Amino acid sequence: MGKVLKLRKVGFSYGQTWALRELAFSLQSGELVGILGPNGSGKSTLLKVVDGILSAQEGEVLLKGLPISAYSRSDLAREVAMVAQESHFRFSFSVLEIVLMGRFPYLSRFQFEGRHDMDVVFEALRATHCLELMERPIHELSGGEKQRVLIARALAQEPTVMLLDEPTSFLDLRYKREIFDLLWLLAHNTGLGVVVVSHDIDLAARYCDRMVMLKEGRIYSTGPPEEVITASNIAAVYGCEVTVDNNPTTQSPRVSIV
Amino acid sequence: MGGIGSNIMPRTTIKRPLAPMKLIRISLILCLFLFLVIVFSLLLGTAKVSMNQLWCLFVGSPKANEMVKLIVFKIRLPRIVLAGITGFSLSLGGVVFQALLRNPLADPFILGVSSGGALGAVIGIILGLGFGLGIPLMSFAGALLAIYLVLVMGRRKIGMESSTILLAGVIINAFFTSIIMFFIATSANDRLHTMLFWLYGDLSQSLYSQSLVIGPVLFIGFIILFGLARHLNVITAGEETALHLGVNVERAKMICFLVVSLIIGLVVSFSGLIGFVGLIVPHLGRMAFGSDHRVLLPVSSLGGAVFLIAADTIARTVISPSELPVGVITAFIGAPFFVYLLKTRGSGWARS
Amino acid sequence: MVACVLTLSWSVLTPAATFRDALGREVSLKSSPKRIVSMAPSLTEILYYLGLGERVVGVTQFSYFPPEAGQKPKVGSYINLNVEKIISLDPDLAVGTVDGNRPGVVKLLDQAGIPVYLVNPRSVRDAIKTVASLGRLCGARKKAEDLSYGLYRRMDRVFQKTVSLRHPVVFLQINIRPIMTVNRNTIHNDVIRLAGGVNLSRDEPMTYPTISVEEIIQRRPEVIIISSMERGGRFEAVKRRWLKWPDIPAAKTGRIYLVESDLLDRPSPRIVKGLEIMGRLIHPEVKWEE
Repeated sequence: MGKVLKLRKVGFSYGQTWALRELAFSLQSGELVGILGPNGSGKSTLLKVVDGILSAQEGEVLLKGLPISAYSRSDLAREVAMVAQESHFRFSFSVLEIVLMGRFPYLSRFQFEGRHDMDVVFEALRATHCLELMERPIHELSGGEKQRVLIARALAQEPTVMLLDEPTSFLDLRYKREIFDLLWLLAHNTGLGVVVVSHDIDLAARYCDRMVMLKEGRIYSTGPPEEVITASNIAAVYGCEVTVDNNPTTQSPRVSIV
Repeated sequence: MGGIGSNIMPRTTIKRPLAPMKLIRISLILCLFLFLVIVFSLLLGTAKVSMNQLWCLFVGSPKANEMVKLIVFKIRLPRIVLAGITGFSLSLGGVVFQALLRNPLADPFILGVSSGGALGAVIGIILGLGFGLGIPLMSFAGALLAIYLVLVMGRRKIGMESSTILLAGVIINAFFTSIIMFFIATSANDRLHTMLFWLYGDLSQSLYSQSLVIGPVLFIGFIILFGLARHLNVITAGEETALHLGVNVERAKMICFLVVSLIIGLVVSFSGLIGFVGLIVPHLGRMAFGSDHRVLLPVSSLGGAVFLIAADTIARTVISPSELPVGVITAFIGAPFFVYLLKTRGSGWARS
Repeated sequence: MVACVLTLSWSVLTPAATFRDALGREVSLKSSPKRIVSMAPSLTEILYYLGLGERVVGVTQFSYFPPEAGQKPKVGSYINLNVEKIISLDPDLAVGTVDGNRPGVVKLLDQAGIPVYLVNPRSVRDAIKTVASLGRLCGARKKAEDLSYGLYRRMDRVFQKTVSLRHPVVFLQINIRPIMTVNRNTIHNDVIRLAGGVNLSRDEPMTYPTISVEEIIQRRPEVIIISSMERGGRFEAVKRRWLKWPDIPAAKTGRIYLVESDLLDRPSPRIVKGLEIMGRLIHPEVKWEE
C-alpha cells in the first residue's frame, strides 16, 4: 500500500479569489478519506484539481509519483474516476450502456467493446449490486440505485483513485448508508483509494479512516475522525455551535446542533 | 458491516449490447428499405412508368422506351439521389446537434447555418444569379458567415459552452431571418415566388452534379462523426462527466460543429430549407434502437434518406402535374408527429 | 329664352360626365382630369400612349415604361399602395385595376373624395378597350378611338393570318425555378391563342401553376417561350437545359425563344407588339410582311 496521491502546497484561484491555498494532502491506496467543510471552502475545487479538470497555479499534484500534467486525458481517466453528485440523463440509456461508458478511456476510436471490457463491467456491476438492474433504463431507477450505477461506471474505469462529490446528499437515509457501506468495502477489499466529499458528517465520521476539514481553502484539521470532529473545530470552521458526543451504538463521533 | 445484500451471482460473461455484426445487420436492413423506397419512387410520377419498363431499363434491354429512359435517368433518379443525400445529411446533423446540445429538440438548423444559407440564396435570387452555380455559392457563403458568427459569439474563455452556442445560434437565426423578411417584403412578384419555393425546400431540377459535390464531403464527414460516436454517447451524459472520463470535449464539440455545419451548409445551398427531417428521424431512431450513437448515426442517416425520398415523391405527385415544395410535406408529417410525441411522452424523452 | 337660360344653368350645375367602371361603379368627374394617379404600370403606359403623360402626377414602383414615367413620384407598389402619398399628391382621378389593387385602398380614396376608376382587362381585346375607355375618361376621346382602332387592326391581322393554320402546342414559362406557367384565365393565354398557338397548360386548375419537367416532356410542346422579367445571360442557361431533352419537339428543332415578359403580361398597348412577336415565333411560315 503506497501513497497513490500526493498534493504539495497546491494553490488554485478562479481569477482573483483563491479557492485553495497551500494544500498538502495525501492518499494511500485502500484508504477511505472524508473531506468536510462549509460551502465555498474549496471541497469541489479540490476534487477537480485532483482529477485534472482544473490546473493548480501553485504547488503540484502527484499521482503515483508523477505530476498530473504528465498524464494524457485518457491515461488520467484510467487512474482517477470521479462520481458527481447527480447526473441528469437527457437521453435514455440502459444501466449497462451507462456503465460501459466507463470503458471509454480504454477503447480506441473505431473499436468496439471486447471480452475484457465486458468482464470489467460485469465485476463493476456485481460489486455495486447492479447486475439485476442491467437492462433497465436509467430513468426508472431510484436515487440510490442511480448513485450505485454511477459508482459502477467509475469502477469500470479500473481506477486507482475514486473521487466522490457529495454522493449521498440527495439520497434517502437507507441509501446513504448503502453507499458508504459500498465505499468502505471498495476501499478495504480492492485497495482503491477513495476520497469522499460529504455533508453527512456523522456518516462520514463512522466510515472514513481519515478526515480532512477545510476552511477557506486551507486545511484546518486532519487526522482520524475522533480528532477532527470536535465541537471547537466545527464551531471554528462552520461557525455553528454544536455538541459532539459518541454515538452509543457505533462509538463514532456524533454531531448535534445546539 | 452488513447493509447491502450479498447476492453473489455465478460468474458469467454478459453480452455486449452492441457488436459490429449487429450494427452491420441493422444497416443492411435499412439499406434494403432505402432500395425499396428508391424503386417505389422511380415508379411514381406524372408520367407512367411500370415495373416492367423499369426492369428493362436497368438490365439494358433494347426494348426500353426512350422517353421512359429519359424520365427515369434524367429527371427522377437525380432527384431521388439528391433527396437521399439531403435526407441523410439532415438527419445526421440532427442526431449530432441533439447530442452536442444535449437537447432532443435541436435540429440541424438551430445553430444559424441554415438562415445564413437562406440569406445568401435570397440575395443570389435577387441579383438574378443562376441556380447552377451562382445561387449555391452565395448560399454556401452565407452559411459560412453564419458559422463564423456563431463561433465568434459563442466561444468564451472556457470554450464552446453549449448554452452560449445555442443562444448565439438563435440570435443569428432571428437576425438573418429578419433580413430575409425585409427582402421578401420589398421584392418584385416573380422573385418572390422563387424565394418562397426555395425557402421551403425545393428539389425539383436536381442534377447529378449537385450530388457529386455533396457526396464525397458527406462520406468523409460521416466517417469522422462516426469515429466520435462514443464521445457523443458520453457527452450526452454530461460535459463534466465526459471530461472526467477522458473525452476531449472541446475538440469533439468543435469538430462536430464544423463538420455538421459544413455539410448542412452545402445541402441547404442546393435544396433550400427542408425542415423537420433532422428533428423527427433521430427521434424515431432513438425510439427504435436506443441512444447509442454508434447505432444512431447510421440508422438515423439512412432513415433520413428514406424519409426524404418518400416525402419528395409525395411532393411531386400529390397535386400532379403541379409540384409542392418538399418542406411543406415534411412539415405536414412532422408537426403532427411532434404533437403526438409531446402528448404521449411529455417532455421526458426516456424510451419506455 | 328661359329654356336657353335653363339649359345653360343645367350644364353648369350637372357634372361634366359620369362613367361606369369595370366594377359597375359610377365615377363622376367635373371636368377632364388634370392630375392623374396611375395605380398600375400598365395603366401608366396607356396614359402616356394617349399623350396624357404630363397629367400623370403619381405612378407605382415598376412603371418604367416609357422611361419618362420613371421620373414621376412613386405611390408605392402595385400590391402595396401608399394611400397617404396618393392623397398628398392631390389628384382629381386615380386609375387602378380590379386584380391587384386592394379594395381597402379604393374605399379610403373614396372617403378622401378622390374619384377612382377601375379596369379589369382579361384579354388582349380588353386591353385595347381600356385604351379607349381611359381616353374617354380623360377627355382624349378622339385620339383614343383612333389609337385603339389601330391596335385592333394589328391584333386582327395576326389573328386572321393564323386562324386557319394548325395550332402548335406552345409552352410559356414565366418563372425559371420553380417552373411556372399560365392557364386559360390569363392574358398570356389569350396572346398565345390569337397568335395561332395552343397553351400547353391551358386546362390546369391553378392560374399560375407550377409544372414538372416530366409533364412537359409528355405534352410535347413545339415551341417554348421563356418570359421572365430577368434579363441577361440566364436565358442562355435555361435554353441549354431545355435543349437537353431531345424528346421535346421544341428542343429538337431548337425553337426556344425569349420574349420580354412585359410584352405578354401587361394589358397595355405593348401587348399587341407582344402578339405580333408571338405570331412570328409560332408561325414563321406565314408571310408576315404582306
